[in-house]
Amino acid sequence: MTTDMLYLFFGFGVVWLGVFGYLLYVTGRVRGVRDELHDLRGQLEPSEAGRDTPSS
Amino acid sequence: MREALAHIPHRELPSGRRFGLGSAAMYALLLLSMGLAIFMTFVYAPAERVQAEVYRLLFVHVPSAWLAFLAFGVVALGSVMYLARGRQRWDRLAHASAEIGVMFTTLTLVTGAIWGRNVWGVWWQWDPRLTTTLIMWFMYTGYLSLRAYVDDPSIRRRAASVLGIAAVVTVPIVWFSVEWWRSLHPRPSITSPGGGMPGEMLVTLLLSVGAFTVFYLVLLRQRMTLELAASEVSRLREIMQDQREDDR
Amino acid sequence: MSSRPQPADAASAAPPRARLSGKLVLLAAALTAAVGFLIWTGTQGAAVYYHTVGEVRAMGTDAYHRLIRINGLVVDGSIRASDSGDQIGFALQDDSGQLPVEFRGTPPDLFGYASEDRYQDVIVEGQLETSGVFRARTLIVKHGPEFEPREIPAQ
Repeated sequence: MTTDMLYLFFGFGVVWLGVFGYLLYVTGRVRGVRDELHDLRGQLEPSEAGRDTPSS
Repeated sequence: MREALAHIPHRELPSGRRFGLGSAAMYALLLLSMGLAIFMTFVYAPAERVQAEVYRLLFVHVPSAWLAFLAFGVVALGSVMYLARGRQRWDRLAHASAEIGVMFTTLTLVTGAIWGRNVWGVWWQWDPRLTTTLIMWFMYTGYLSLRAYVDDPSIRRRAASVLGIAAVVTVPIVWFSVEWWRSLHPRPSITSPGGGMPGEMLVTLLLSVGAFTVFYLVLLRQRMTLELAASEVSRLREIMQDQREDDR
Repeated sequence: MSSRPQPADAASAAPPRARLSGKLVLLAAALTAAVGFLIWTGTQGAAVYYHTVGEVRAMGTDAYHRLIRINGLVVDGSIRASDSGDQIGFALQDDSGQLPVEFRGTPPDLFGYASEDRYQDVIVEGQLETSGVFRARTLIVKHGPEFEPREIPAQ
């Protein structure tokens, strides 16, 4: 393999790692926040049933 | 309170495991265009006369730079619209696009350094194109830091919008740097006299730009969903806090 | 946190708005100053990224022993290795004439690449000695915006 091929694959490696890594990172965080949201909604809904007008 | 919980329409915030036809089509398009771009980059496009194989970095370096420009343009658009209309959706768009733009600027700098090391013989030079690109990178990392350090949401959004509009001046500066000043970095191949590339390379480049643009849209969508969900979480936390205080 | 305009919020939001405009002016001023400074140093500090051979010759004795970059074309057939092998010499030229260059180190892979009708465009970074030889510490191969397919020999 010639030297320029090494640089080529090095460059492509960085790019694929970067974009797909970022996509996975964001997707993972979306999942985490969604689960948290789900939990919070679950906690809020029952307690709200008995409340009249909250301050929101 | 029902109304407060349903504050954000379900359509915008898939709280379950919704995977709609829209996102399925988007991911299919992403995989298809990326796959085709990879095939064309390594198989269809011919080797280059002087640079042999390493020139293929063109097909990621140029799309990355293009997307950085596009992303920062969208930051400016979102910022203007937020200041004009006051809708948080515009601010979320600007924030999401800025983060993606910084990532693509980083990739542009890194692929440029790798390519430069092989062809120029140096990783880095303080030439106008490289220097202005670095300044652009600092501008938008500054934008993201500003967002991270200002606590008051309303001040944060307004200050970020002002910076988001101001920072976009770096985009034309980066673009025209090779025309305005003497530089090591070549001028754009497609539009410059003396430049050019054979049809196979041009088609591959255009397709790669298209594929990266789809990637940008997918990332933007995910990043905005994240932003929306996160703001909803903090809103619900505040409500819970209020409730606890009320119960006391 | 609510994005809906609410009467109670609107009243309390007025003072921060007033404070904000001062902060924003400061921020905008700082930003403009920063960008202005960067552009100024970019264009004035180092003047230009590189000089031409002709400009360096026009500088006369002012050009000696300053760290500068010079752009020019490598004169065909002028490249030679020193006896010890760790140094190369060549002549750099533009319309105004030639300049002898000596470089110690490993040249880039593409240095010396000869093509039929083109001289190689390079940038050298280093100092001009009083002897008239430019001692380069960095040798950079320039590449233009042109891409051409590699010709595959017909079989």
